[in-house]
Amino acid sequence: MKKETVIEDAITYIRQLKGRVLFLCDQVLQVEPLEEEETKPKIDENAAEEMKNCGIEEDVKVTNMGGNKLRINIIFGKKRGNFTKLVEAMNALGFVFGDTSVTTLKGATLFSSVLEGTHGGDRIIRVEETRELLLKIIRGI
Amino acid sequence: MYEETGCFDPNSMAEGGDDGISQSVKHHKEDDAAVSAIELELQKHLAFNVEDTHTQSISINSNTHSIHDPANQNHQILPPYEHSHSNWDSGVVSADHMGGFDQNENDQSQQSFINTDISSSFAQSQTPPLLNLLQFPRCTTSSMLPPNSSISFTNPDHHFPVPPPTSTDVLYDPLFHLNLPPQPQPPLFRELFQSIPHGYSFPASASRAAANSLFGEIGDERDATGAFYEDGDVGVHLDNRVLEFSRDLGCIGRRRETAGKPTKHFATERQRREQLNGKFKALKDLVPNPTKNDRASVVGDAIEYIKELLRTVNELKLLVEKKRCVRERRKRHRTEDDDEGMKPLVDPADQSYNSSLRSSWLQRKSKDTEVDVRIIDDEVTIKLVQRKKIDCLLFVSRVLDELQLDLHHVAGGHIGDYYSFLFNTKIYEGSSVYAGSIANKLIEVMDKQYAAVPPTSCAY
Repeated sequence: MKKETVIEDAITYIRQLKGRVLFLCDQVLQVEPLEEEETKPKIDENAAEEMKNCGIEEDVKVTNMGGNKLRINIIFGKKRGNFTKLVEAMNALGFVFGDTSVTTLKGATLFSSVLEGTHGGDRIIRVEETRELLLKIIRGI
Repeated sequence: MYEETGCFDPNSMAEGGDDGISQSVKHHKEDDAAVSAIELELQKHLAFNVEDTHTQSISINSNTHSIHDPANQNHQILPPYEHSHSNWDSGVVSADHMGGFDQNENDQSQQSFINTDISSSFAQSQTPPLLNLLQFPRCTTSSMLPPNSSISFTNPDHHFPVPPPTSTDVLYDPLFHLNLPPQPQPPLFRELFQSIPHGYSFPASASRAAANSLFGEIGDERDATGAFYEDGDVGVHLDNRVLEFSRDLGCIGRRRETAGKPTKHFATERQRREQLNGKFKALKDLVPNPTKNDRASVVGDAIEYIKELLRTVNELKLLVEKKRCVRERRKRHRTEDDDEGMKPLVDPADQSYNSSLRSSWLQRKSKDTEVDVRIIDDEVTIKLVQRKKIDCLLFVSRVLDELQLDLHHVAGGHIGDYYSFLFNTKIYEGSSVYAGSIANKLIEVMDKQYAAVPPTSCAY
């Protein structure tokens, strides 16, 4: 097969596959399953139950890492949209996260991160204040 | 490197000729009214004992599209001279008139020539059926002459009358001018045209002259001006017209071929190269993440993209299937449980419907963001690398919520100029995301955020 024909065939095939993908996408959107809301509260309930069973409690730990950084560990119940709210709240407060790690286990979420102070003048962030703040956030979620 | 086709291919030429003939035939249909009118007039002038039926057959022959009349021809093998003459005359006249004759001045002088020639030719040959002559209506040089290769002046010693051409139309009249020995000539119109490549020559000018001359008075038919016809001038004119015709037919042949299928003839090697480059560019444009511009990279990207598309197709197929199953299951359960008022849990046995594992993987890149999405069954792993400008965690988590992905694990941090994150998520049941949608959405959001945020200096 010549080079030209190979390239032409490739172009044709890619176009064809693209068309197929679009068609299947439409099909997927059409076959939308009904009534998925029931599963949501169920999952959340399960998560809360598990947490209780394992004795995991909501908690916030803030540690000073030296310099401008604070180590933050937050444990909260895993619910749908929880994490987003947490991050939103933190953002609103002006926290900028460095290295972050989030894990979930038994219906609980552990959010571990390094917080760097963004307040211009106030370089020293008091640990206790941060902790209180975060606790409020979690309870609010 | 490339081969010439179509120009001098005798087959196409013959076809071209046929087309030309049919076209000319169509042309002459327009003049039918005028032709018949003049035919009637001529008949009066000619004052010949023309059989009405015969004349009518002639006019019919000349006026209809399919121009052959075997019955008539059979009868015309040895027509009386006057009869044949008149037929020929009227036929010639009508044929020429179909071609749009409008010159009367030279006719009178030339008419005698024709008559003389008719007599001479008929005397010599075995009076080929006049209808053969009549069956060649207006035909232009471009359509009637055979290809150059097959045109040959087969009878160089014949004397062809060549009065100066007075009109642009050609009256095709091979038999008349060839003075052929008594051989069976193909009587039919089409047969004659098929025999064109066999060496018939078409002294167009002579025919024209003959036709023109007939239009004037026809009193002097028998005058001997055969001397005029003795001029051996035809060769030059014929060759010229033959050359023109072959060129025209070549165009016809080429046109016909190009109309049939796309030719791949490149005038130069350079055009060929340009076309190839164009194709490479088209391939590059199809691929979403073009890396480099050299040919090898383009081909490599295309290969990867094709594989990705195949994976996506499979994934989507599975997804559709799965959702259909789920939907049917839900419907079934709903109808069953209406009495109980309780929804049963998802039947684990139903999961055997989808035995195949859903898997897909694709990557998308934009200016500031790179996304890598891998899906295995219901777990989605997203790798995100983006330039450190905004806090992406918030936006990503928002997107994940939108896409109904349950965040299980996140790991990430700063690496040089970039944020790098790894998200392990699970698809909530009932969500209809697929790898492509996740990647596209993420890229879209990221780019939007980047565009919205004006460039700010880093906090530290």
